[in-house]
Amino acid sequence: MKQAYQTYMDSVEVSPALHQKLLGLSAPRREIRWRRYGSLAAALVVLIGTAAFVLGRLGANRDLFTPHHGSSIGGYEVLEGDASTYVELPYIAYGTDSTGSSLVDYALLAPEGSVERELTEADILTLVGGETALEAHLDWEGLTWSGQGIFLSDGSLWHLYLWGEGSDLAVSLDLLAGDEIPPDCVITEADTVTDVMGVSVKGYVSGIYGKDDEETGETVVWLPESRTVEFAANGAGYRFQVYGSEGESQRVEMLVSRFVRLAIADGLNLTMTPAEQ
Amino acid sequence: MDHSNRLETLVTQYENTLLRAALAILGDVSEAEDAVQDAFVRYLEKKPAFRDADHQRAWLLKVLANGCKSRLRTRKRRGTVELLDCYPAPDERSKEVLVAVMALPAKERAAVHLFYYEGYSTDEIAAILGQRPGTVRSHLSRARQTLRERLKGEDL
Repeated sequence: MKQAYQTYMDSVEVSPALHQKLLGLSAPRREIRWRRYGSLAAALVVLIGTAAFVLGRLGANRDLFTPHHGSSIGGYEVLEGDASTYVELPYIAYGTDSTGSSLVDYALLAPEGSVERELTEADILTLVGGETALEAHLDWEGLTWSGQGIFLSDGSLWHLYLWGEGSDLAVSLDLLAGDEIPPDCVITEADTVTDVMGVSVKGYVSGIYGKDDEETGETVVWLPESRTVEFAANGAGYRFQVYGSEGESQRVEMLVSRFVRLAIADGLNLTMTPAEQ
Repeated sequence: MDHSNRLETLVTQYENTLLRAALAILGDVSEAEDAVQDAFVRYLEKKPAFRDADHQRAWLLKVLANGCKSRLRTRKRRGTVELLDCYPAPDERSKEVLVAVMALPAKERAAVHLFYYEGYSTDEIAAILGQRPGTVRSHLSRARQTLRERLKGEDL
């Protein structure tokens, strides 16, 4: 039976017409669309209880991918009005967890008077510094977000956990105000550190992300390409992870570098005071 | 080697592999041809760096399988007759087996094709199809049982 199946499949060959069509294929053009954030309000979905919401594709800059040389992984252009600025992205080295990892229990003790609540889309925009930061600098597009934050009595952020998920990408951010990296139940011993603008950034290849369909038990999201960075800068410690599809290491590393650059060069808005318009 | 030259090499090397897998999963010639084109377009879009030939082949099959899954979710009917019209079986035996395999559910067909034709292990198939290895083994087991019944007790 196996032989008969193989005999059939061996006899199947691409026609000359299809072959020529395949040789003539080209990559689809990426449209750069600029939209005001407000016009997408109708596209945002806030689910009561889970606080999951979608920040749709707000617009993107064309990335200029160049092979990394020296301290840069490439960069992108930011258009503000008629002016264009080229933003260089830092190269970050990623080690593997070759020395092993261990599990620990931990508990965060929030300061007295702090309040924990679900994050809103407005929180994220305020935290990262507004539309331009989200659209142009972070390139976080089409992800469904959920997260929780612990806010101090003055409204500033003490701790945040944010998770963004799309069909071929997932992002997580763990942030703790202060100088320390947020604790985690998995202690990773990887020791690859890169100096980025004077900040030590630990980078490592992290695990794979898979999510099973609750009904069928089959894996419906499978993101094996991941990178994690840990660093402290501008009053906060960060653990930032990006998960991407097979073959997406370049895209994953660019997204990580975008966040690292923003957090170190500009800092996130931990006061959570919306910027003046 | 730039990506257009690389595309020609990849197309020549893998077009039949991808077409055969797409036909096995979709059972429809025109959809399978579209799925193959989509897989190569995805390659041009993502420009992945491959560790080796095995990685390259697995990546293309994974992209193809994902594309086939999307098509299966939206299509209404399947044309097995058209498949044999466009790609006739070389003999009666292979035709009989093909009809029996194509009568399986798509998920079982995908596992059967990747296991028995491409020679992947169940773990490798799991990575390609985005399933758990146990799920792949279940699909294969059910497929074997069904094929035994349909093909009068023969083992795959």
